[in-house]
Amino acid sequence: MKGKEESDWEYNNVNTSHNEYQGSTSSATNTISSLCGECHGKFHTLIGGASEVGTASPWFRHPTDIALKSTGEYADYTFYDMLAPVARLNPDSVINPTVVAPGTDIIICFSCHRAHASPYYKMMRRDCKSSTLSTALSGCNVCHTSKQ
Amino acid sequence: MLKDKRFYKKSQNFTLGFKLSALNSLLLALCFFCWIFYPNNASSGPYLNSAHGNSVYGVNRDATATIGYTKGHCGHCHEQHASIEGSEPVPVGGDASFYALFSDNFISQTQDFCFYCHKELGSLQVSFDRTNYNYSYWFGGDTVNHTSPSNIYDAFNPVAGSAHNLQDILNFVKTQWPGTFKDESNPCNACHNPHLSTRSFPVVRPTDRNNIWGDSAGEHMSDFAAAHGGQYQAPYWYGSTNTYEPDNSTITDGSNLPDYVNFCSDCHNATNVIWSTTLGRNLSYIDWTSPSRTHGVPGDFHGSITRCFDIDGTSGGQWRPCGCIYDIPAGFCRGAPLDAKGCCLYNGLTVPDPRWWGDIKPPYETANYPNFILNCTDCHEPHGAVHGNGTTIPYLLRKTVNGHYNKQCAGGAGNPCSWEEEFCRSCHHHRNSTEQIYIPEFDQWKTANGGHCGNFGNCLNCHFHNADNQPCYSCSYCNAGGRGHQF
Repeated sequence: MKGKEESDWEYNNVNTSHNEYQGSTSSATNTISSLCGECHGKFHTLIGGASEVGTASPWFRHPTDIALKSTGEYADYTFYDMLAPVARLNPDSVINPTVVAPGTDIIICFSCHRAHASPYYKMMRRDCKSSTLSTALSGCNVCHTSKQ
Repeated sequence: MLKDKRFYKKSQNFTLGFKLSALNSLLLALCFFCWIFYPNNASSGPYLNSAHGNSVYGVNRDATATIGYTKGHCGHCHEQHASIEGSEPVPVGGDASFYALFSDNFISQTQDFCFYCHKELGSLQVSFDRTNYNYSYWFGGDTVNHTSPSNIYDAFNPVAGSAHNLQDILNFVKTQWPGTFKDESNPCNACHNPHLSTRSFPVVRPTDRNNIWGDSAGEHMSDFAAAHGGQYQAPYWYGSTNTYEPDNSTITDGSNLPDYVNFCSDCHNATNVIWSTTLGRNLSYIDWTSPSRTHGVPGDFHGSITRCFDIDGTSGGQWRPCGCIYDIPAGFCRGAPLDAKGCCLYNGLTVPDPRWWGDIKPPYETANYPNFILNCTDCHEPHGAVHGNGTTIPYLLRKTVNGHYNKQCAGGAGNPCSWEEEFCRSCHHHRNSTEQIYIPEFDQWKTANGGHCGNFGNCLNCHFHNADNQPCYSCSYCNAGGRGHQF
């Protein structure tokens, strides 16, 4: 798996110091999401394929390893939010880690989940079972900005 | 708040103004402080303001509520991975669905994604804070006669009634707006946006999917009427003669009512060809904007065409003639000679039989506007009309109109009376009231009921949208002998 490790990764959990992950919209197998897909194949766009995830919007399942759209509500996600990390096509070329480029940057499993553990249901990055609706949806709303 | 005019008047005092300024600065600083430390707190936006996204009464699927999703949660409708915790919450079955919905978006009139919750028995919604009664109930005020249908599924699937055909809607909108609606779209979304629609303002236009319709300036019936040279008069609220639809207030000009004409006209207009599977034909054109009575030019009298009769049923005090005066009852013509048809002659000529063709009922009679422009939902249920009292209700017509609940019309032998006549009589007198008319030639008073000149029948046989080619007498009366719009 390709990526770029940040020395302060998860130390302070801010968008100025986070890992950069390899993403791909092709059939590359060196992405972090394709690693997840080794077991959770139906949840990965390219591994699950057309029948499980779909090939374009509207998707059957939430896609991974696809580019964040640059149109509509997604165009507003431009400031890297630790609640919804994105991968890069080329992690080494990232100059400003706080910037998200809709249309280029990649949606990954880590956009919603953590890999090892989290305080929340399904290792989510946010408390999606919060009794406060705005909190429960706060992660979704990073990308789905019109659904706030 | 600080710019409130009343507040400004009081803040002329410098000291008070200074204190307010300081308070304002403090509040701004506090906001900034909060933003620094709680940057990820979602603010209330379109979805959280919607009916589905309401934290008190929003969407709440039983199975996902059990998991712990709060009301309004996306996960009640969208399963990101088509499963949760390795299994599929109820309803179970089928492949992953478009939009990551928990089931297919649309299959048929009875199998629509929305119906999983918006139905009576078997609804997946934990409970409804507000029952989905029909328009006549919520906006017409008839809570007596419209406790059924009590859900959207039943409204769209009346045992014997009429309803918007969902497949026809989908076929039309995906042809009309292929960039917006696809094969996998839900026909309900032609009129609603599940992420946006609110209780008070449930509709969005198919041509403007990201904006609620009816909640902003310029989007009310008063605006439409003013823009088309007419006036809107709200119908009575059920059981009242001093409050009106849609909110039981005293407002009558439509300023509190969404402009459903513009909304519906995105589909139902003078050019769109809309197939009706139910009727087996294309729907009539509807043009609520045209003021023309001319034959061949779209238009409607209930729309922007100025009425040609006065509210008392006359035209400038003149009764409408209908044939000739007969010597009925015998002696009515005071011994005048009769022609071969039995018509009384006066100075050798027949005498026109003046007829009273009814007047308009209150509140329209009272308002007496020259050009009443009606709102679509004054007469139609948006989803469907359920039968009742042995009557099949056509064309999604409301059973309660203008505060009047329309039962089966009481007719009888030789006096057939359709439900449709009863429906029209919500606002128009027709055979259910009389007028004394003076016949000067024979110095007699004649009792005329507000009836039709010609055959009685189903009003809607002739009086339908855009009807301009009916060889009826009123046609020539309104249009100087030519055909044209008379309805």
